[in-house]
Amino acid sequence: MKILIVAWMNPTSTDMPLFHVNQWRQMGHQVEVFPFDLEVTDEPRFRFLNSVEGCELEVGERRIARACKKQRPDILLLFYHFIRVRRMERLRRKCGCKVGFYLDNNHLLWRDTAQLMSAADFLAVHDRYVIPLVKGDRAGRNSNVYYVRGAAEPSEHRPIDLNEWDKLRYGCDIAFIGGPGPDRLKALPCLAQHKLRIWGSLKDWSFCPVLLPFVSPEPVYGLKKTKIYNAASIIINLEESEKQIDAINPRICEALASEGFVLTNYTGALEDVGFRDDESIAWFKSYEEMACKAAYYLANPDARRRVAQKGRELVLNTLTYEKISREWMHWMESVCDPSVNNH
Amino acid sequence: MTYLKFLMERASAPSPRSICILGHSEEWANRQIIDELTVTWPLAEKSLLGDGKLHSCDLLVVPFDGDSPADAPPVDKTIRTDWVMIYGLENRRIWVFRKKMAMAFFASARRFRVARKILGLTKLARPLKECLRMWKRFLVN
Repeated sequence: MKILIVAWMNPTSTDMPLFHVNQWRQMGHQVEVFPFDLEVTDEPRFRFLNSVEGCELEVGERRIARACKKQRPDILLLFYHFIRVRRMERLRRKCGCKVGFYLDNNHLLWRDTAQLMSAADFLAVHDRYVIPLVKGDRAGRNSNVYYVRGAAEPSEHRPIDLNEWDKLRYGCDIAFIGGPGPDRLKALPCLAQHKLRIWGSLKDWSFCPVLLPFVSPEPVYGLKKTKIYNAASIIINLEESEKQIDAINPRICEALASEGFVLTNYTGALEDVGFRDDESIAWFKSYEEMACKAAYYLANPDARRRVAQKGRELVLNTLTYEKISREWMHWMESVCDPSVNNH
Repeated sequence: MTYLKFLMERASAPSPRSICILGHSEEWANRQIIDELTVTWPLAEKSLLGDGKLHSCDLLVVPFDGDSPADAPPVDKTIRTDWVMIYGLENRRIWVFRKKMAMAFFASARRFRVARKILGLTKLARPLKECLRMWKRFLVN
């Protein structure tokens, strides 16, 4: 199949779209990528025009339409609401392609998200919590919904021999990578008695003076992220409930594949995929429990290593892009060509 | 690794055998860039520029802070290179171009920055805004 993917490519949290693309290409599909940031939002001429009058959607839609006309894809897969619903419908008619929409954070009411979810030919969701809310045949629901679990790419997320500089620079008791939100601002101060390190923007964290001394403003992505996963005693994963409720964050898989020890808030999705508390991961259901477990595992490095090792095995057996992307592709093939299901 | 390979592939650039990096004032930034390049192209020869000598390489990496390539340091035109990687550290805004295109891209980013300042100082922003609004309305209808 010919697939055109439109995604943010330079956010520093994950290279998730590219990991999927690599797997789909290995399966023999022709996959082209339209990096929205490089093609639109970061492009100097656009930035100039946009600073005078906001025109992201208008410029973006035209450039996506041009890419579609050139590629003539079977599937246009949008990793965000880059286009408005009417424009998407027109594009679909003109190009004769199926349109897929990937919902990352649960921002269902944000701009055209809900309408796009309804009008798309299929939906892929990162959080299985939303499936019963959107899947169905009536009242604008979408009958084709697929749950994409988070995953790791073992060629990138792996144990690394760190040198002394790396250990000094990236090592800490507890590492958190990301931005603030109401839940994180409540949780992280409970860990402030440890050597906590928050990798994020000073500006973002500036309204929480308690946490500000722990913030390291260096940007984190790529190999540096893997090094942090290797160097920190505990990697903490704190979901914002306004973004995700019952998902497997790729951060968990990436940290575990790097043989890091992960302490995370509990989700049913983690348990259902095979994780067990204090065996292959450590999870908490309250901030008190989080603080207790952090203290316990910092004092017990052997227990930490044992759990991290089991977690890594589980990720490598179950949650790699080689597995997750291929399963997703087989599902997309069956949606786009129902005869595939019959084979 | 994956991201840099994607960017090179997108630019139709070959895997570099030699890479020069314009030194950044922060040590962590230089290390971060060299680490990432090393893991992506382990066999490529890497050198951090700053010794004042003339250099020749397949790929020149130009790191910059801030959110615009207009913030990038000036590139010595005598550096012999085929490809330039404009490396925005803050939000991983990275572009790869042939040298001539890269120079034009820098110049364009700087021109638009100057244009923005001129708009701020004159009354031209208002009519341009109106034009853009009209264009947007035209697209809807």
